[in-house]
Amino acid sequence: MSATSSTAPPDTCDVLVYGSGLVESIAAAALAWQGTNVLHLDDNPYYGGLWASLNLEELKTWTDKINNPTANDTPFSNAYLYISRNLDPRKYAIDISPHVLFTRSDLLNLLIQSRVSRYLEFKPLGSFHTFEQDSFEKVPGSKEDIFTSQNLTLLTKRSLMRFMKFVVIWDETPDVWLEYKGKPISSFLKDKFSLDQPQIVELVHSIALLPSLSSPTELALDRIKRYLTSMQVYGNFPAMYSMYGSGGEIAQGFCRSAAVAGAVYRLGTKLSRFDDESGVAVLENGEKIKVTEKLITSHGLVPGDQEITRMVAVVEKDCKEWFAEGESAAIVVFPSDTLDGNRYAVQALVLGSGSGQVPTGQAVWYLSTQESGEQGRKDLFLALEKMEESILRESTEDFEFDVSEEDIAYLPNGMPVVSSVRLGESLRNFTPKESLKYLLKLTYTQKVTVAPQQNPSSKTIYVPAPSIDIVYDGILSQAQAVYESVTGTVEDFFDVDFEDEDDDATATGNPPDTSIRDVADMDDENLGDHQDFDEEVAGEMTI
Amino acid sequence: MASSRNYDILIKLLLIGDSGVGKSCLLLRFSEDSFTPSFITTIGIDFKIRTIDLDGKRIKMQIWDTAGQERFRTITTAYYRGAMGILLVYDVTDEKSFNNIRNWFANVEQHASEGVNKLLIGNKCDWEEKRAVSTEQGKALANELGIPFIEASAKANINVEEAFVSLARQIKQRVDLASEPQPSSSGVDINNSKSSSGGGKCC
Repeated sequence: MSATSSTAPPDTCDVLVYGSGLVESIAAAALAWQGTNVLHLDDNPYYGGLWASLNLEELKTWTDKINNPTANDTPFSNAYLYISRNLDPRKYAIDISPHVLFTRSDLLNLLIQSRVSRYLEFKPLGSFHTFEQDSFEKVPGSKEDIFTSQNLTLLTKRSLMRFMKFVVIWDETPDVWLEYKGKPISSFLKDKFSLDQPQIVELVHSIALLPSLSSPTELALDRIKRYLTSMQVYGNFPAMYSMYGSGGEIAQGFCRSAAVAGAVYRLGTKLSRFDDESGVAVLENGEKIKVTEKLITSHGLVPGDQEITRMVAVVEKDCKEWFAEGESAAIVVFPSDTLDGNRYAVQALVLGSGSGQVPTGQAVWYLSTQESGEQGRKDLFLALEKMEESILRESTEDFEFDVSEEDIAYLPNGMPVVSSVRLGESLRNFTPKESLKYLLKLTYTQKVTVAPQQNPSSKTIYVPAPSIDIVYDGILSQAQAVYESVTGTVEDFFDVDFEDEDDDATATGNPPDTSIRDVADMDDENLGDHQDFDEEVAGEMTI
Repeated sequence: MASSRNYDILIKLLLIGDSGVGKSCLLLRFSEDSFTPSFITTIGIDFKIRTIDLDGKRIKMQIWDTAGQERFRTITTAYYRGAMGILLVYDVTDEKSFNNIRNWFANVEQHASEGVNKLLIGNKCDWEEKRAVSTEQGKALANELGIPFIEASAKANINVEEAFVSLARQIKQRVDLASEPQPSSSGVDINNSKSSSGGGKCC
C-alpha cells in the first residue's frame, strides 16, 4: 500500500482524531486500515493522552497542568508529587492509568489479529495476594492451590471445588444464578455454595478484581471465570502487562499501525476550535483543516459524580518477595473493611524493574480506590503503610524461619510445599530494623467523565476517559462504537489481509517435529492426572 | 515452530532520518532489489526481512521503516526499543537533512538501548550535479558522532548492500564478543498459546 502526499501538513482529512489515548488510537488504526484518511493529533508532546506513561520531567509538567484549573482539560486533578533528588528522569515510566491484560480477553485477540502485538512486549503476572489479618496471603487460583492450602477446612475445599466447577460453565447454567442477577455476588456465593467470608472476599476482590462485595452476581461470575480460564493459556499466570506502560504503550502500537496504513501523526498540536456545522478545525497556530466526516475527541468531556483516588509510589526495594519466580509483577488487594473501615477495596499493582518502568533494585506501586476525597487518600496511605511493613518483614535476610514438619504439605507428585499461612503468622511478630526509602510519591484524583449532551447529527464523537477498572474491559467495544459511528458498521473492523512479511511461518517446509508431539501427549497424561487428583479429593470428602 | 528456525542470529535494524532522504528506497533496494522513483512518501512498509550469510552464519535481518512518522517527529518510542543497529540517513543533495542528523542522533541516544550500532549514510550520491553536502562533511560528522560513514545510492544501487552488511557485521561481532548469555527475557510470546482450546479444562 502506498499513497501520495506532500511534505506540507495536510489541510483536509476524512476523520480528525484528537487525543492519542487507547480507544482513539485503536479507532484511528481500524479506520486507517479501512481506507479512511485519518489525521491524528495530540496536544501533548507524547503519545497516550489520559493513558500515558511519563518520564519524571513529563510527570512534573503533567502535575502542574492538572493542578491548574484554567489549563486543565482532563479528568485528573488534585495532584501532590514528591520526587527524591538525583533520580535520572528518563529511567522512569510512570503510568497514569495502569491496567493489566488477562490472557483471555477481546483486546488481546485484537492485538494478535491486528499484529500490533509485534510492537509490544508482554510479561506475566501470576501473583495475586489478598491482605488478611495483617499479612498477605497468596490467592489460591487453582484446584492445586486449594488442595495444598493449609488454612482451608475440608468442607471449605469441597465448596470451593464445587464452585470452581460451576463457574467455568456459569453462562450455560442460568438456572443456578438467574434469581441473583443484579444482586450482590456475596449473597449468591453464600446461599448457593455455602462459601465463607474469607473465600468470598478472595473471589470477589482478588480474583474478580471488583471493588465491592455487593458487585452484581453476573459480572463477578464472568470475571472469576475469566481469571480461571486465563490460567495456562501461556503459562502458570492468568494476566500479563505490557512493558514500559500499559494503555499508553498499547495505544502507541496502534498509532504505528495506523501510520503504516497511512494515517498522519502530529503531537504537541493543539486544536483550538471545531465548527461542527462546516467541519472546519482550527489549530492553535492558526492552521485550518477541513474535516469531511467526523471529529473523534477525548477532550471536552464533562465530569460525572464518581471519583477515583490514585497513588503512585516508587520504592528502593525490588519487592521480589511478592513476585512469582521469573516474574516482576504482583497484585495486592486490601478488601473492604481491612483498613480502618474502608468502604471499597484498595487495589495495588506492584511492578519491579522487569517492567521497564523503574531501574534495577526499585519497584513501583500503583494504588487505587473508588473512595473519593480525603477518605480516599487516607485509605491509600493506610494501605501503603501495610505494604511497607510487609515488604520490610519479608525482605529481611537475616531472619531465620523455624519450619517444622507439620508446616509442610506434599503435592501429589511428592513435591513439598511450605504453608505460607504459618510463616505469615511468625513473620507477623517480627519487627524490621530498616526503613523503606520512597523515591517518588504521587497522589491524584480522577473524575469519571461522560460525553456532553449533543445533537445526534453532530460531527463530533466523544471518547470516554479510562475507567477505574484495572482491566481493559469495554475498551474494544468503545473503539468499535467509535468506528461504527464513522463507517456505519463494525463488520469490517480490522478486517485486514496482511501481506505476510514475517517469514517465520512460511520459510520452512520441515515436517512437524516429533518431539513436540511427544510433549503434547505428555500434557494429556498430566491432564488425566489432574482428573484423578480431583476425584481423590472428592472421595476424601465423602468419607 | 520455534525449533525449525532457519537462521542463527536475528537482528533488528532501524532506518531514521528526514522525510524524503530515501530510507524506504534503501530498504526496498536491499530487501527486494527494487527501486521506486520518489514523490511518494512511503507508507505501508512496516518492516522487511532479508537473510544473509556472514562468516558461515545465517543472519536474519529484520529492518524497520518509520511508517512516515518521522515527518512531524512523532516516531513512537517503541520503534527504537530492541533495535540492535540504526541507519541514520541523509540526502547529499539536501543540506537540511544533513543538519538534522544531529537531532536524530540525539533521539536515538535518548530512546534506543545503550551500545546499539549506528551507521551514517549519505544517500543519493549518484546525483553529483545537485550535491549540497560533500563527502568530507559527511566524514567529519561521522567522526564527531563516533560512528562509521558510507555514501550510497538506492537508485543507482551503489553501496546499499555494503551499508547493510557492514552494520550487520559490526552487530554480529558485538554479539559474539558478549560471551555471557543475554539475560533470559521472561516476556510472553502471545502468538504462541499453550492451550488454544478450552482453557476451562485446566482448572
